[in-house]
Amino acid sequence: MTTEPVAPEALHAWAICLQAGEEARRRGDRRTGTDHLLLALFEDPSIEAVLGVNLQQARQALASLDHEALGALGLGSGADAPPLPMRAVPKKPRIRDVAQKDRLRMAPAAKEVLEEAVKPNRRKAYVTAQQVLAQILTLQPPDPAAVLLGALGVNTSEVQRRLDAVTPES
Amino acid sequence: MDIEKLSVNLSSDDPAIGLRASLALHRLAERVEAKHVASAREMGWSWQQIGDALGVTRQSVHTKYNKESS
Repeated sequence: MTTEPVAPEALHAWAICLQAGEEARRRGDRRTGTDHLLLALFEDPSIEAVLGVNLQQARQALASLDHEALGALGLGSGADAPPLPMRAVPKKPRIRDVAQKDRLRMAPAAKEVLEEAVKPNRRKAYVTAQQVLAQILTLQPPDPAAVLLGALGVNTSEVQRRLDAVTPES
Repeated sequence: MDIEKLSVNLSSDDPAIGLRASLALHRLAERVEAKHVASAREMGWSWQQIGDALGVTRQSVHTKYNKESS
């Protein structure tokens, strides 16, 4: 079906949305934010090397940020509940996978990140994790993805440099 | 968690932390709800009873949780 030249590492944009939605659901979020979009990019194994952190560390950093914020309200670390189970996301989702009744909406910033990332592509259904990451790097705190990158101690200009090194100008 | 950092934040009126805390509370509430809906089901509560406890219809709890608890 997809014989058109699409980079083999490109991800289906819907798969990213759904995976990000599952990351949001896992935390108990009702919205898919830019932070969850960032977590979903780890579906591409090369992202770990580009960012210098792995998915577990990123999830842990989000949990720590939450603990810290709850601590500011006087809620101790006893105030916690286990993450919700995630559902498997198909690599190439069909419309019925996307049009689930209980899907989470995307935060406006997350929507914009994806739209901007897809823009230069001829086939809008596919986008590389690098393209999405490049958009996420442009965000500034208090955007949740920017806060997360900060908490992870990720040097955004260094990551940008690595991205430029692997993605040839198209 | 960094205890020192925490005590600094306790005294701060920083909206960045306050707003994040509000979201964190929402997330925590969702996880608490999910955990207790699951245990209510295990204890044999009907969807109707869970819905009553949460102040929503049984259908809405069922659509939200039936996949996870089965």
